[in-house]
Amino acid sequence: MKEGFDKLKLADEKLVVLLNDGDEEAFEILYDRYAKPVFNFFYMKLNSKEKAEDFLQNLFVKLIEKGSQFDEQEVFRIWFYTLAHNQCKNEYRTLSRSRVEYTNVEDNRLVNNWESSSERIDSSIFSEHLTLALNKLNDDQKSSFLLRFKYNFSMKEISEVLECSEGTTKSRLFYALRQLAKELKEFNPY
Amino acid sequence: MQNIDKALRKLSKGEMELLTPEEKTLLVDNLESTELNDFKEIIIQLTEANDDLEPDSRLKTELLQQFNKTK
Repeated sequence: MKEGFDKLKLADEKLVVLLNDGDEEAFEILYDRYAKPVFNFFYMKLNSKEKAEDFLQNLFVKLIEKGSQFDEQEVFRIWFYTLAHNQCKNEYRTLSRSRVEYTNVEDNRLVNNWESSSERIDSSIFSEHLTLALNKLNDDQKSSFLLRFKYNFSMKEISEVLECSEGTTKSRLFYALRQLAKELKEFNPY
Repeated sequence: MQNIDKALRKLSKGEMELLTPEEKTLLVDNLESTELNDFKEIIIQLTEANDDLEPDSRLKTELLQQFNKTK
């Protein structure tokens, strides 16, 4: 019991070392720390719960099989999200090809919902609009936005995950925010 | 103003690599502008609201079984 309590306090990087030695509890702690946020990262990028679960499973299988490739001097969170982002790349290209049709259908449905709603802002409609607005961003812009504002990554950390310069990250983020501001302007209370 | 419009045009075409250092600085300086900050707060609230989703609990069991087989 005491051993388990101590492991809960360990940094991710130490847990990966234990995991590589076959420590089940270390794996379980890392799963508990990362499964939900990474699942939501996948979900917001892929728009499918089923795919998000498949991707999450694949990601943790990679951790089991390739955890030994992790260098203890690296930051696990960055390493793990880099794997997650790369895993999405091919899938996102396929999604992008069908995005226009999907977006048009969804836009009409949402406009109808919005017009028939009362004057108060419905948070679920609000949230759906955000999802649609995010879908209009490209993969790198979307990742930059989610990592910065949902997962509190620094500009430097985002640049490492997306393997680009900080200047590029800032530019992508600026563009993403500007696009989202434009898409969501009807919700601006100011 | 013209410079930032030029930089934004490059961004809208996805030509980020063509941005000059001056244009990047200009964009970064404007990143925290009041207008965008207002929206940022809304967006943050919304993204947090989506955090309720949980993966299927069976996934953890499956992965633990796989872990024990592999290690």
